[in-house]
Amino acid sequence: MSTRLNAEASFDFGPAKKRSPVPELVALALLALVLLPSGLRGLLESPGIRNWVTVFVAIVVQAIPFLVLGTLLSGAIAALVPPGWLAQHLPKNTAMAVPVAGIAGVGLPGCECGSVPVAGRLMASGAPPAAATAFLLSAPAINPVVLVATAVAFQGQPRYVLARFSASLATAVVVGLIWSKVGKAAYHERALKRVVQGDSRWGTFASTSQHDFLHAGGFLVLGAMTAATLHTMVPKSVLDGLAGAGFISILIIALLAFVLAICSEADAFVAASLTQFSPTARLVFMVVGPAVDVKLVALQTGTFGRSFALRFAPITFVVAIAAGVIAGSLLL
Amino acid sequence: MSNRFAGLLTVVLGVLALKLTLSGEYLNYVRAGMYPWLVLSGLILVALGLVGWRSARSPEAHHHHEAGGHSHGLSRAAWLLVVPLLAASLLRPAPLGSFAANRQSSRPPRPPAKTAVLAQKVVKVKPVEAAPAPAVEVAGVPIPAASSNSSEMSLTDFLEITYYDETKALAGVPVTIVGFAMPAQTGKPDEFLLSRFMISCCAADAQLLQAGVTRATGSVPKQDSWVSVTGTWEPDDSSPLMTDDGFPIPKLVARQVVPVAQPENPYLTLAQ
Repeated sequence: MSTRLNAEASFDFGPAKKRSPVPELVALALLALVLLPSGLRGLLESPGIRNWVTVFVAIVVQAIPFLVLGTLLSGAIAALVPPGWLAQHLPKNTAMAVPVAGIAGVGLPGCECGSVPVAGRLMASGAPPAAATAFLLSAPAINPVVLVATAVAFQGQPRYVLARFSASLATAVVVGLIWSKVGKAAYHERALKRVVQGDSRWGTFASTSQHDFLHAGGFLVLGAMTAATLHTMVPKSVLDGLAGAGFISILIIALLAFVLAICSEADAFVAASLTQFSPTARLVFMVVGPAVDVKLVALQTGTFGRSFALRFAPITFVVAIAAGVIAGSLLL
Repeated sequence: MSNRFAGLLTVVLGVLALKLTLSGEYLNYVRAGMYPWLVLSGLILVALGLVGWRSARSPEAHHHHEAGGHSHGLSRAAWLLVVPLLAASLLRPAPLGSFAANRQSSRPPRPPAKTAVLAQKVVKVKPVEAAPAPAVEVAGVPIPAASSNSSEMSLTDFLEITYYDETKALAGVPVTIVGFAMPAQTGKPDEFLLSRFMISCCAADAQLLQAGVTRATGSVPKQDSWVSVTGTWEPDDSSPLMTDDGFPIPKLVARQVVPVAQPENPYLTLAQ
């Protein structure tokens, strides 16, 4: 296998390399620290800040093992799958490739943080973007770990497991098929330009894994900061006051899933506790969360690029709600 | 970000994961079951980082770089990983407390899957039908052995039993429960809420559990301070506490309220 060297691999900077603003930023931050008025020092100890820090660090810490698993897999794909192999072996027909990729999601036990680098790497290795996105959406939602967690959370109600499985798989396949029509190559520029380096298989594996970890990790931090801010700022009246009002409650619970960014292995427990919402609304919570939330939009922006995330997130949001509502009314 | 620094940052992040886990601080953030996965991730990151750093330092990499080979700067986003590093290291870790509790309503726990499980829990806390413990007397004054014959139980078990055990077998049985204190909204000076969070994965999915405590002798414990309450459950409560959603909050009539250290694991976890 030949190692690919992408000559134009700088994916953030143009050819004229900008000077890094980091030293100035660090100096500014230090200056701000030195000049911090003593009254503001207590701010760091205030309950709101402490709460923000706890939620923020919690989301990052709990994502680390999944991110490491995802980036190791990404490294392994870069090292072991020859370029072009995927394109050759996946079904040529998109209508076939997308469902196959969606069902393949069963095989990646983890939460959404792990599936983004893997899907990005699959795309870089030549998988059709529509198939890679179907995998991206299905893996965190229908793998065995998540399904078992759902069964535990909704004890004695296996219909929830079935409803979640079908709604999430449908979301993945439908979004994949839509993406095969509307997704342009330009939207995945960042994923396609991803660097693979190293002079041996082992070198490729190690450097790709490390690179993907830092890259995705940075965007995960961005998403975790957003989620922690919403956790700390959103008053509970938003949650309690709007439950039970028909379609509005479904929209509210979908937005809640978007902003809370709860890991797909834990969201069933939260959904089970949202007893003031209808069964269908709770199903929508579990279908939207692993497919699109603030943390995922940040991760996808980092992996695929902004023009991807801006188009992909709204499509996913709408399809996931629709799939949840349909599965809910048929099965729950 | 240069490849050399990227390698070193990966090493430091791996060390952070190891430090949080081995020091037990991780229990403020995630469930205890994450322990082996966090240790493994920490070790992998340290190894990956060292490999990356070494290969970036090698003269060969330098040569590549000069030749315009693959000088790929890592995206600036990777710098953001410094933020959790600072947040977890500079600030003392604190579990979720009354601030988070005030942003959600406590709800009754879900009923246990099998009634047998519940019955087992009830039997476990019922006092042994043995001869009553000999009354301890000091200079002719009987000392109530409040905590010696009470059963320690988790807030989850207490709530499950009070909500779902229809035989009300727990009524009058002294139990000891640990949690943090929050003021009750009733305004009564001798009442407070004994609270604890239950998590499934991490603090972002925490759910609030609460029991009321009444007739607390002495002063009501400070908000967010950890206490161990020994008392009995009163099933027929004339003035029940209510959650915002209108569920009654079961109340303990306290015999003893003792300040305790924050438990090693501040959260309760769903037994899976």
